[in-house]
Amino acid sequence: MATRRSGPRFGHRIKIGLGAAIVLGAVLMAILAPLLAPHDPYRQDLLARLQPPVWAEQGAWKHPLGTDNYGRDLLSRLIYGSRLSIMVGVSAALLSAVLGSVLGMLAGYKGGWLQQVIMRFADAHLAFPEILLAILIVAAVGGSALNLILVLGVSGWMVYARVMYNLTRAVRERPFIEAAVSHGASDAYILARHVFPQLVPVLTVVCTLQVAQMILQETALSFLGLGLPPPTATWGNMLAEGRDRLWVAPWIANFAGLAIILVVWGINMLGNGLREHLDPKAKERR
Amino acid sequence: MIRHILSRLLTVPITLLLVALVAFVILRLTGDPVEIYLDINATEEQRQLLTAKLHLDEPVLVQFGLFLGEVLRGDFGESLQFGGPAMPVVLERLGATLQLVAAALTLAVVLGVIGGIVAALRKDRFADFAISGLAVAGQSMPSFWLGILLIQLFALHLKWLPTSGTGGLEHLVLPTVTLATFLLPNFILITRTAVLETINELYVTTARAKGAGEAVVVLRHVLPNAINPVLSFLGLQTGRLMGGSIITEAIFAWPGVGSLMVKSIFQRDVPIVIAAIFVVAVAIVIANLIVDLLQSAVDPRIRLD
Repeated sequence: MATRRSGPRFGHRIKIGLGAAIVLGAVLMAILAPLLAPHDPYRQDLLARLQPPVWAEQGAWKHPLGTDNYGRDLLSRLIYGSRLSIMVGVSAALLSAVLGSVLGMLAGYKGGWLQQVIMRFADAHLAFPEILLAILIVAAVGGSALNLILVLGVSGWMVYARVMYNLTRAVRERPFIEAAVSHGASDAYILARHVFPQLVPVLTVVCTLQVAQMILQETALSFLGLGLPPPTATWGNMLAEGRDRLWVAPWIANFAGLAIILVVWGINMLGNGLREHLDPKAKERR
Repeated sequence: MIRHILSRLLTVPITLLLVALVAFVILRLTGDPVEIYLDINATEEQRQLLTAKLHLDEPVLVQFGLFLGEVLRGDFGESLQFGGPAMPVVLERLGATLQLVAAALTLAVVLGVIGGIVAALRKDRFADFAISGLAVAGQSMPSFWLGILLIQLFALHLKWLPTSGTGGLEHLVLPTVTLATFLLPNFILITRTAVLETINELYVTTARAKGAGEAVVVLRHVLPNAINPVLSFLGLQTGRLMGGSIITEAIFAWPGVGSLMVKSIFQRDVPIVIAAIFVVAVAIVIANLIVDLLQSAVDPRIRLD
C-alpha cells in the first residue's frame, strides 16, 4: 500500500496550484472588468436579441458568447457578474469568520453558561436552513449588495463557531496558555495572542471553502429573484433569465452556470488542497 | 433511553422559541402592517383603529407575547392573496413538499450509501476514483443549474419528461434528482470515510478469519458500525434539504410550501410567509428528532451521555 501512495503525495500541490490559478483568474477578471468586457453590460440592442454564441451558425464575433433577450452582450455581463459574486462571497465569508471565530473562541475558552448559550444557539441555527433565513431577511429588508453581505455573513457564523469552539478547547489545555495565565495576561490578550494564532491554519481552510458556499448562496438568492434586482448583471440573475428562455436560448443559462461552477470548483479545490497541505492526517484518510 | 428522549424533546420548544423570535423580528422589519393592510386613502381614524386592533400600540415585549400566543393557537393571520387564514393554505401545500423531500432523501440515501461502500471497498481503484471524483465535482455543482441542465436534456431535447408542474410520477423525476444532488455528494464521501474507518477494525478481521463471505462482512459487521456518522450527517442536513426544496420547487414550479413562500414574498403576503417558516421549522425539528432517536437506537453509547 505504501508504494501506491507515492503518486497522490503531490496531489495537494496540484490542487492548490490549479485552484489558486482559477481563483486568481476570476479575481483579475472582476477587477479588470471594464478593460476586458467588449461591450457595456447594460447596453440594450433590440436588433441583436438572443444571438447565439460565435460557434453557432448565426453567431458572430461581435458577441462571442451571444446576447440575451434585450440584446445585451453575454460575455460582458458574465465578466461584470463576477464582480458582485466574488465581492459578496468574500465579504460574507469574512464577516461570518469574524463573528463565528469570536463567539466560538469565547465559548471554547470560557466554558460554563457562555458556552452553553452560544453552542446551543449554534446548534439550533445549524438545523435551520441558511438559505431560508437569508430569503426571509432579504425579503424583509430588500436586496442590495450590502444587505446580501450582511445576511449571508450573519447566517454563516455557526460553521466557524463550531470549528473554533472545538479547536479552542483543545488549545486551552496546552501549557503555554497556563503560562500566560500565570503571568497575569487578560482573557482578551490570551485569546488574541496565544489562542488565535493556533487556529489560523484551520480558519483559512474553512474560510476558503465558505467563500464557495457563499457564492452558491448568493447565486441561489439571485436565481429566486431575491438578490440584486435586475437588470444588475449577476450570475444568478442571468441564470434566472436563462431559465425562462431555455427553449430559444439555452446558452444564457448555461454560460452563467458554467461560470458559477468553474469559480466554485476552483475555490473548493484550493480549500481542499490547503486542508491536505496543513493536515497530513486528512491526506492519509483519503 | 427515556431520559435521553426527554432531554431531546426539551430542545424542541427552545428551537421553536428562537424561530418565533426571528419571525417576529422579521415581521417588524417588513414595515408597518397598517400601511400594508390599508390603502393610501385611509383616514387617520382608521389607522388608529387598526393599530389598536393589531396591538401595535403596546410595548414590544407585550407584542411578542401576543404573537407567541397566536403562534401557539396556529393563528398566523389572514392571507392577503387567498383571503382566508394563512395556516390551512400552507398545510395544503405541505403534502407536495413532503413528497418531493421524501423521494429525494430516499434516492440520496440509497445511492449515497451504496456509492460510499463501493468506493471504500475499491479504495484507490478505478471505481473509487470515478465515484469519489464525481462526488467531489458534485459538491461544486450549483443544484439550480443542474436542474436547468436536466430540463434541457430530458424535457426539451429527449422529450421524455415534462419540464415542470405536477401530475403523474414522471413530473416527480427531475425535481427528485435535482434535490437529491444537494445531499448525494456528501453522503457518498461520508459513507466512504466511515466505512474505511471501520473496515480495519479487529471484529471485521475476525469475521473474515471465521470465513464470513464479503456480503456478510459488509452488511452485518461493517455497515451497522459505520452508519452512525452517516446518520448524524443526515440530521445536520435536514435543514439543507428543506432549503434545497425551496430552490428546486422554484425551478420546476412544484406546488409546495417553498414555491408558495417565494411567491408570497413577492406579493408581500406576510402571514403566509410566517406560517410557512413555522411549518418548515417544525418539519426540521421533527426530522432531527427522528434522526436522533434512530441514532440512539443504532448506537447504545449515545444513550449513556
